[in-house]
Amino acid sequence: MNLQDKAWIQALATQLAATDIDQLELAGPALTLRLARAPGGAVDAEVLPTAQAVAAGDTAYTPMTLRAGSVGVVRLAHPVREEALVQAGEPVAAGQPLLLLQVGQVLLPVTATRAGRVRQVLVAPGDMVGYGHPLVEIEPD
Amino acid sequence: MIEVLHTGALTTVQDMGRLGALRWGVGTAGAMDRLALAAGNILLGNDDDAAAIEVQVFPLRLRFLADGDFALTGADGDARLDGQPLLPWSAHRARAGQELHLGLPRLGPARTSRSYLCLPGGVDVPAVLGSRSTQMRGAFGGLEGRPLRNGDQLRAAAPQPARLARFHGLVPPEQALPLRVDGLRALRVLPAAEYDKYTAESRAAFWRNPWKITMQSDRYGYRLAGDEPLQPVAALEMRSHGIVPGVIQVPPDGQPIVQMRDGQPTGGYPKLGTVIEADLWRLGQAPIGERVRFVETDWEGALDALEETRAWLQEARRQVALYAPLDGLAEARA
Repeated sequence: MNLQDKAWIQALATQLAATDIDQLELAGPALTLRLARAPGGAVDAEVLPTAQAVAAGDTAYTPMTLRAGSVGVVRLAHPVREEALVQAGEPVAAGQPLLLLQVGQVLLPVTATRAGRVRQVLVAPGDMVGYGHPLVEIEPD
Repeated sequence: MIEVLHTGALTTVQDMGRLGALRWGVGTAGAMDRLALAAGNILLGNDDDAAAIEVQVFPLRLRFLADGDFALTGADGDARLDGQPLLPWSAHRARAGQELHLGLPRLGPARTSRSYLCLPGGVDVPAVLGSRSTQMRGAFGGLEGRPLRNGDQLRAAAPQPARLARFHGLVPPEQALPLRVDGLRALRVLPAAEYDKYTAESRAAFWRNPWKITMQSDRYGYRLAGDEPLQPVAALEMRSHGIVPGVIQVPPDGQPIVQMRDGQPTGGYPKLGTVIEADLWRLGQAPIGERVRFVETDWEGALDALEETRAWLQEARRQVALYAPLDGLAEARA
């Protein structure tokens, strides 16, 4: 898809206006499209470089920040366990689950993309996060 | 394909049970925690009643002989795959040669006692009288009608890895559908045919007291012990009659027995009540030594509870399907 295709953006905006969704963000490798419903039913569209969109949304951005791949409620411990999956300072292996995002009854694990050490957990249990929300900082090995 | 490297006693293949065969005197067998079985199957896109491996004596060690997905539900035994910790109540992928280790269930207030290992399409054993559950008394069903042994090899009915988009988990029903009274695991009970033949004090004691699950408790039945044995108004003598899992019998010593999945199809002890179908999984997970409480319910309450369970499973299946690939198994089953 072309994030600069005006006819396509217009069609998307029309579809958005017919829903109860307030905001829509599509991030490509280079560009990010943001649609937001304004009061009165109009839809504002904005296209900006993805790097700038990320920086604007999160000043604490570092390359090793793991982000939410889904909307969800943060769980640092599995519901049958008491202890958190990881603590700040702990070493982690690639693929190791660091926390869970709960969506309804489903638990989505957020896993380390590479081996390293947990620098900081940026969210608290019960936090509601959206797509791209920074979750955990990893200091790579 | 998996190979059992080390198993404790009484690891068996179980599905939802051999329903409809009681009329021939064949007990139902089936998973002690049918919700955990269904949840594991849902995580793999299987039908709810696909056969799985029920583990109740730990540790269990097995090797995957081919790449394959699997799901673990039920008791949290700190499962590891080649040493890497696995999340409980989740789907995972194994590579050929990897070893799965399932240890003792974790202690704690929400401790449970049976784990389920589900495979894509279910464990591939022949159906006998409409079920793949191991019928221990009759020595049929499951794998050759017996518990698993070291060296046994089992196939998944759909051995190619299911096209799971993500290896997600489910919030366990213990947390999603909690039922506790005074901090103890509680079970809803329908008064049964001989309820009125017990003294008023005994009936009150039955509901009021905690009942300890004794060492003489297994897949056949749970023998309970309480401080006030249950006394009939007059001695009861009965002919043997049909019974089902969940029936609470009272032998002459006044300490109740709850029939479980491998229970006999007939019995001669008086019946004080029946643990409702919707709560049998709670008892099936209660460890020996734990104390449980009984809560009185009625026919409507029992049906509502069953509906609540069905709705939970249906919703879990719907939500899991949202994360499956569009051309995957979940859509085919929708």
